[in-house]
Amino acid sequence: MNFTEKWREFDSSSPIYGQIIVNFERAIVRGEIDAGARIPSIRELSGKLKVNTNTVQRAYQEMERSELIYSQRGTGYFVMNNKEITNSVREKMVSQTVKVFLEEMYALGFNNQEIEGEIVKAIKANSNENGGQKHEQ
Amino acid sequence: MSSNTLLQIKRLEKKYPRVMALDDVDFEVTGGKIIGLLGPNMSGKTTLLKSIAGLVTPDRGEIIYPNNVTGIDRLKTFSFLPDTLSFPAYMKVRDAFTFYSDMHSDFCGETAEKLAIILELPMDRVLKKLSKGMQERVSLALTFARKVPLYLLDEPLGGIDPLGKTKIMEAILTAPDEDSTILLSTHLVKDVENIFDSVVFIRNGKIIFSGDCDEIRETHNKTVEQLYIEMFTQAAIYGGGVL
Repeated sequence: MNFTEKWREFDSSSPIYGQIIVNFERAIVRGEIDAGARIPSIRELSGKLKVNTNTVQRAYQEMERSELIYSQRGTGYFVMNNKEITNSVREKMVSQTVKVFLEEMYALGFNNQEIEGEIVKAIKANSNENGGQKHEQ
Repeated sequence: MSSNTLLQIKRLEKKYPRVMALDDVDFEVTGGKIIGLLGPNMSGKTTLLKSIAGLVTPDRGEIIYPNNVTGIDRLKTFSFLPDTLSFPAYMKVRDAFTFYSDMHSDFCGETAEKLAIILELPMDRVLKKLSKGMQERVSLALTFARKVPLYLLDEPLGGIDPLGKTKIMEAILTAPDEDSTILLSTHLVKDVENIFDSVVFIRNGKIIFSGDCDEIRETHNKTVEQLYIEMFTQAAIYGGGVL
């Protein structure tokens, strides 16, 4: 598992533990962290991300509560090996992203039909830019 | 005093001929935290840390040490990293470690070795001939190699290059025991704010703000640095005096 620069960039407006959780959720949904895989200890991740250990601990506690990870005494923290949970995280993230997008579009005065049209247009433009390749982000 | 209180500072005051270095400073610190003592130069950060370290005698006020110890035993409750350290000209990095382990019964060789690796210390080089940044790394390793409840770090990121900074932060985050507390003074807020549990803003010897870092983000929607700039700018406009 690779803690790229992205993991170390935090935006200013929300608590860091929440941003760590989102990074884990993304990595799990994208398959960068396998189900059942061991994740770093609190201290290890704290040293890697250069954030306070209590911040990482809080992120892990929240993820334990939402059953995304579990801890095994003495051996560490592991990603829950449960398709249902990863699927529900994926659904949650997708619906959040779409909701934010829709709210913004409604605020700009677009109706559903226009939004659909804009999306199709944007996807086309995007795939042309990438030489007909599907965008993999 | 709550049961988890590690250090308590009560109405501390220190006056120098022309300035109030500490003006009614009052706060307490619990175990297992990293606390940022933030303020511009000349705000009183060093005087506060030196008072706790027993190197400055406050005019008024009280400092209650871990486990309520008094007298000479206080020296065993903290490890102090001053902003400037000088070493004898002959000393190699390795010698400094030996010297420290002879001086302090709480010196832990295992931690020292771990720190030497994290901080990439050149053990066989003469200390005086190292860059300022590398000397700071050595000092930090020596400070953390002692097993104490309280670490006092005065500007540990002073003359450090960006790469050294990340190594120092890693050492700060991983070296001390989990229930030890670190009190760290700096004016470089942005670089290190993510390592803090909470911060104390100090200006002209007075504490003008203290708070939990998560809370600052949650309630103010700001980074610690943004809040810092805002508060010190306001204080300069409305509070008078120089920054």
